[in-house]
Parts: sequence; structure tokens; C-alpha cells
Amino acid sequence: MTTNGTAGQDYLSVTDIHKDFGGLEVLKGITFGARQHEVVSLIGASGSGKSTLLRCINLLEIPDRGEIAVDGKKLPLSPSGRSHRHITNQRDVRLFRASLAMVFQNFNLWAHMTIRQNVMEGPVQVLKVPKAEAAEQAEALLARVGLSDKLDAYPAHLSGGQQQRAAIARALAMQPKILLFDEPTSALDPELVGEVLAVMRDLATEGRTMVVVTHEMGFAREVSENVIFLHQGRIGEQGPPEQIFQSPKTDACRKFLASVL
Amino acid sequence: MFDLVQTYLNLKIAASDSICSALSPISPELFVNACPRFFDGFFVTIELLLLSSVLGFLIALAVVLARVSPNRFLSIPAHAYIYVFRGTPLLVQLWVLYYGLGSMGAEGLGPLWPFFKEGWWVGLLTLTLNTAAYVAEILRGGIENLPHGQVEAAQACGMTWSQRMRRIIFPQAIRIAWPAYGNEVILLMKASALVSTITVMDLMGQTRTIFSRSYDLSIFLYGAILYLVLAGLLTLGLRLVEARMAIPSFTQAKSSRQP
Repeated sequence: MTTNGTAGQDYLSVTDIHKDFGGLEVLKGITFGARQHEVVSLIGASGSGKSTLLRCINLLEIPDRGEIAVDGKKLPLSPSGRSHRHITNQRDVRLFRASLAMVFQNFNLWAHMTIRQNVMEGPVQVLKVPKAEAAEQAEALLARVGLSDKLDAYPAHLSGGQQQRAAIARALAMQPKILLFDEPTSALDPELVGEVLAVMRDLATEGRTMVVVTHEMGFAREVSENVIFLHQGRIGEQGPPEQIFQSPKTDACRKFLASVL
Repeated sequence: MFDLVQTYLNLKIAASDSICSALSPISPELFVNACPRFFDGFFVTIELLLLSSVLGFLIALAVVLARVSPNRFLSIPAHAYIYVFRGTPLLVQLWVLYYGLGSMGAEGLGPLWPFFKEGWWVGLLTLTLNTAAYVAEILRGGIENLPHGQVEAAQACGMTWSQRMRRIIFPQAIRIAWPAYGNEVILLMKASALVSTITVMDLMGQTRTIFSRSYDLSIFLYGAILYLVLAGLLTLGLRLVEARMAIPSFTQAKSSRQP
């Protein structure tokens, strides 16, 4: 593992990410960083590459080119430019993934486990936390997201909002350095969006480092330190929320905001 | 070990005796006379079936892991194994292993000869290898029908391949695959009648022997009824396991693939 000299004080640094899906270039060179305790929102039209970018950060997709570093440590990828870029060190990737918790659009709670078991699973299997301790932690986290009465319920018995809050508790249980949110409210009925955003707002206030792909402009505006507008696989514009939302510089960004606000 | 086998043999005889004497007042004379032989065969069929389905399941686990592995040196041999055993008739497999290999005799097979000269062992081996191929495909169906997000969530929290298999994929795949697996066990029960062609005195073998003494066609009807009884018992057992594994609303729990 090498230290990335150009990262400066960025906690997460993403450098020149390219991703191509069978000839379709989804990401065309993305570079951005996030400092510790900072919330970065990724916005943009569907197909602009936001979710793919987020999925590249924890290597659910392997970027064809570019580097990703967390806390100065590069993710172990073979050199760019080969036809099949691959993970060079599975163990390191697992450690990285454990430190970058992901919250998915479709929650992806494990269907054969209760909510409590879902939250305990990662700590027990990956972090080797003793079961009793993990159970205690799970209960505390689920209480925090308002699900104390659902500990032994299965995911199928919860509403979307409850499932997503449980998924956030599952992510927090890994004690992650960075939280990644992939359109966490997009699969929710409108009346359930608020409860999930409230939990996320709470995490932002607490000083968590977060990268959020979202369509909730109000949320992005309110909690992020930095907003990145992705346009056709490139960064169209980035800056503090006031600047992006009040005086966007590019036409593309202006058009996008006009269509969603 | 020897005690255990002896106890089992005694139990078998006791069970056969008591069932036969219980049935005798209400059965035709033809059946009453043949009853102990029928149950001899009935138990041979049960033994072959239980052993081959348990051993076959274990082999299927190994085969399916190889089959879904990204490593071609594992997946191609697994694929070939499945292709051969599903693509040839069980009858041919039995005959190749029993009459084909067996024709090499003691000098050709050396230490394997005691195994290959016994129809029962060859029958067990063939049924096991055959069902393992089918069960591997059934399990693969269960694994590949899992919503991809289930695996991604496990990857995203840093689980290893074997943790994902053991903790996330297999527990769900087995529940998805169970009804199809039950079907395979019933099919295996019926297919096991073919071992009678390699001298094994299973239920089919005994039925044919009994028939050859009386030439009364109703003998085959009694054989069929015993197969039906066995199918009923198996269905019941499979249902019990299914109920034990049941998770509320599991089958409705679907989360779709990420875009």
C-alpha cells in the first residue's frame, strides 16, 4: 500500500476514474475528494454515471482506469490499461470494503435474517466481534434509527422506509470510515422519504464522512459541504451547495436543476 | 459399529414381521405369502435411496460450488460431469459400471473388484453420482435466482467468498430450491427400480422374483402400492423439513438488481 501524495488532506480521494460498459463509456475521468467529516453529494440526470461512480469507490465495479485512496491508502488494483483490470489483493479489498459501508437503493437487507441478525452479521463475520457484543450494538443502532420494536422482524415485514433505516443501521455497525449512499430514497414511497432523510441528516450532523448519490435536492443543499454535478460521465460542475443551487455556471447544470426543482 | 448394524437388521426384521402380520387378515393370500419378501425389497430400496440422496447431496454441494466458481479449471470439469450424468440414461450408467467395468474382473480391477462385483454397491455408486448431477443443477438454479443485491450487500461489507456462500447465498438458495429438490428425490426413488437389472433385490427385484413364481399379474400392483407408500413417506419428510426451514414471507422478499 502506497501513500497517495497528491491526495493532500482528502480522506477519500478519487483520481481520474474511467469506466466503460461494453463500449459505452459511463465515466470519462472523474476526480474528486472528500475530507473527513464532510458530506459530498453527487447529483445529475439518470445515466450521468453517479451510481457507477459510487459503486467504483468500493469496487463493486472495477474502474478501467484511475485510482481510489482512502485515508492515504490506495485500493489494490492492477495497473490501468490492461484489458481486464483486477483486484490484486482480495484481503485488502475486504478491509477497504468493511471501512466503506454502502447503503443501497433497494436496501438489500438479507431476506433470510431478522433485522437484528442483519445488523449483527457483518460485525460478527467480518470484524470478528463477539456475538453478545454485536447483538448489544445492533439493538443500540436499531434503537437509534427508531426500530427497537422490529428487532426480530424479517425484512419482508417492514415498510421500505423501515428497511432502509435498518440498512443504515447495518452500515453503521461496521464502524465505517466513510458511508456511501446510493440513491437511498429513490425506491421509497414519497411519504417514507422523510424518515430516512432524517436519519441521514442526523449522521451528517454527527460529523460522518458521507458520499451521497441523491435526487433529493433539498437534502443535498442542506447537508452537503460539496455538491458535484455529473454530466455525461464527467464532472459538469462542483462547489458548495449555495453556488451550485443558486448560481450554477453551466447550462447543463442549470437545465438539470430546472427540471428537478 | 457392528452392534449398530445388528440392531438395525433386527429392527428391520421386526418391522417387516409386525407389518406383515398386521396386514395378513385384510390382505389376499397371494400378498400374505409374499409379504416378507416384499418388505425385504422395500427396505433395500429405502436404504439405497437414503444413502444415495445424502451422499449425492454432499457431492452436489461440491459440484455446484465448482460449477459457479469463476475459476474455469473448476467450472468446466463440473459442467462436464453434470452434462455426462444428466445426458445419459441411468440404465446405461448402471450397465457400464456393473457389466462394463465388472467384465474386467478381479485381475483388471484389483483391489476395486470386491466393490464392483456387488450390484448393491455399484447401484449405490451410480444412483449417488447420477442424483448429484441433478441436485447440483437444482442448487445452481437456487443460487442464480437470488437477487444480485443480496450478494452485493455481502461483498460491500467485506465478506469473503466462502462467507458469502455459507452465510448469505446457500441459506437462501436451499430454500428457493427445496421444492425442486423434493421432486428430484421422488424421481430418484422411481429410478432406483433400475438397480434390479444389475441383480439387486430391491423392491422391483423382489416383485419380479415373486411374480416369476406365480405369474399372477396382481403382484406388480402390490409392488406399485409399496412404491406409492414410500413416495407418501418421502413427501411427508420433505414437507417437514420445508416447514422447519420456513422463513416468514421469504419467497415474496425480492429486491431487484441495481441499475
